[in-house]
Amino acid sequence: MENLLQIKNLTVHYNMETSVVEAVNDISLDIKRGETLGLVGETGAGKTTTALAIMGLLQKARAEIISGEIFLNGESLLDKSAKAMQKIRGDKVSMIFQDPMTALNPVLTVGEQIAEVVRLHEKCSRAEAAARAKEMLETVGIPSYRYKEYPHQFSGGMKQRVVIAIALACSPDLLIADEPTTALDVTIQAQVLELMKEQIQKRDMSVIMITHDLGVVAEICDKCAVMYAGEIVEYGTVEDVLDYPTHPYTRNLLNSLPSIDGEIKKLQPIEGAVSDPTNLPPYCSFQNRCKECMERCTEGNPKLVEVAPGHWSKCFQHYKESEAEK
Amino acid sequence: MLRYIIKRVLMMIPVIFGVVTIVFFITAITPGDPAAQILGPSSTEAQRAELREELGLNRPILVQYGSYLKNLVLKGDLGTSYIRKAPIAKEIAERFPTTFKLACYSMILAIVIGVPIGILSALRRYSWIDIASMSFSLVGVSIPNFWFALLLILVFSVKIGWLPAIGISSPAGWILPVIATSVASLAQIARTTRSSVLETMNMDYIRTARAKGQKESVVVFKHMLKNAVIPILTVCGLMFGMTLGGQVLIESIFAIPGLGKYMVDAIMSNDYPCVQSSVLYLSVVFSVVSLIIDLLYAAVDPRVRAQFKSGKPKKIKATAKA
Repeated sequence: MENLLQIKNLTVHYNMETSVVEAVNDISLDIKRGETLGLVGETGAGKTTTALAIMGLLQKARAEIISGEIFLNGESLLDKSAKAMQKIRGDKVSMIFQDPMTALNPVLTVGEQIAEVVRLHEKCSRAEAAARAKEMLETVGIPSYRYKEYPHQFSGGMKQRVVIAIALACSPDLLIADEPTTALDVTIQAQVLELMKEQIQKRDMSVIMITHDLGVVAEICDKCAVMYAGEIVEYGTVEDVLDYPTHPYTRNLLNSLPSIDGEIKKLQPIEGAVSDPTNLPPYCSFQNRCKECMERCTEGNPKLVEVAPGHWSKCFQHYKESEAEK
Repeated sequence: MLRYIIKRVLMMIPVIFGVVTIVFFITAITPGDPAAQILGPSSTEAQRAELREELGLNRPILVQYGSYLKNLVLKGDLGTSYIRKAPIAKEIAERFPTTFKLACYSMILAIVIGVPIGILSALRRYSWIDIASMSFSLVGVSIPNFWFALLLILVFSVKIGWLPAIGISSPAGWILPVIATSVASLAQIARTTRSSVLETMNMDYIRTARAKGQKESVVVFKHMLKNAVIPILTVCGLMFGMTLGGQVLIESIFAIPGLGKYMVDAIMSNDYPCVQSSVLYLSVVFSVVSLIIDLLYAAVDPRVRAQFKSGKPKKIKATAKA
């Protein structure tokens, strides 16, 4: 399978007034056509920044792409003009945002907001766009007669369905879903997830599923990348990463989850806090919380090492003797 | 919607009644004898007593109040000016078009210039455009408009001689008074627009609009401005009400026969019926303007509309935040 999206050595910093936030540090990712990648990590790990960089929606005033390249279908996105990016956004790549309560414009009807994206990317009349929008509403499980209603007339779950309808309206090649279920309550989460799963399978598109919910990853993803302090620390198939985690952070993360059939004991949190993103150490940034920390962990920053075919981990534990000497 | 309008119009009645009552009693207890004012210092006490009798000023105050209300409500009679002996309703009606025109022209000017300046400063935050326009508007809010009016006359009438210094007999005569009146509203509107757009531009739905691949101009005018407009409308309404209430100094400087000067003259000469009617006029103007602004809120914001339909108008700011 060919790569739909390639991210090479992407580094993004936010220039704040007195400091620089190192949000994304030298990450590389490939996403194949039809593949669903789960991007996992805690708040501030750089997941959303990565997504916004792909969309070309980083805040111009603050964010700066220090280095790296992003290719979609072999075309470099970072070299494209603002106008060319407008043609790609919503059409080739679209995004579902985290909070459905604020993601919809309160003064426009939901139908109008779906029809807007159709009219932008497909040469069609107002009536055709409206018809398409109604079709999309039905697709996401909202009766089409609600076309003329406003976001405040919808519940959170329904709003997220509308946001999904907007994102899917032009059948994008790549869908970026930024914590699409985080702001919803659990039963609604399950419904929305089910809807997304169904649509992903039907449309055969590539998806980046940003989440901190490992359950979501297990449910719908093919691959999984774990991010920590702006870096990818482990990458592989969902089975590899969830069943055979090799990076200490991933292991800790999985340990901290309650098990449904295990004995009920206290939850095991990961001790400590994430390194300050304005002041990351020149060595492994997980070192201060790592129980398996070795002497060399403070000597340098390890690279991703292929621990098994297609399964990568960024830890000195996996360095073979030969590499260690390098 | 119609029900809401009727309800609001009915709600104006107690407001206006309250205003009329308070003003009536305040003018009544104000020191100063209208009879002395009318007849002048050379009049005798007998003459004054006669006039007081004629005007009904020596009746008990509650009786005066009763007859004033009776005339006002039953006949729609605002009374007669003590000084000019002319019906006040007619006097106000004569002056209203001038004041209304001045208010409308200056409001239009303020909106047409103030809103784009505000948007531009917000979009180019901290750029020289922003700094320049916000300094300008700070000056605009701060300078007294009569001083600005004099400055305009000095420059455009006296030095350059392009525009007439006084009078509104020709269209050119309107230019300076309109500019002088609008400067404060313009500056206030520009500042409000800027802060409102700044607040809106970081909203998630703006990012959604951009994520759709929408053009920046459409993002600004369709998605941002429609959401930012409520505070702007509020300021416009306040400013419009204030200008409709009359611009005393501007009217005096440019010799415009408007209501502002009329009211001040009435107060200076203890012309009670005139004062009362002027305040009545002001309260009606403010009530009507705020009703119009509330209806405009509903026109731009479906959430406000929904409240009107459910018959429970709440504070707009609170719902906009929710």
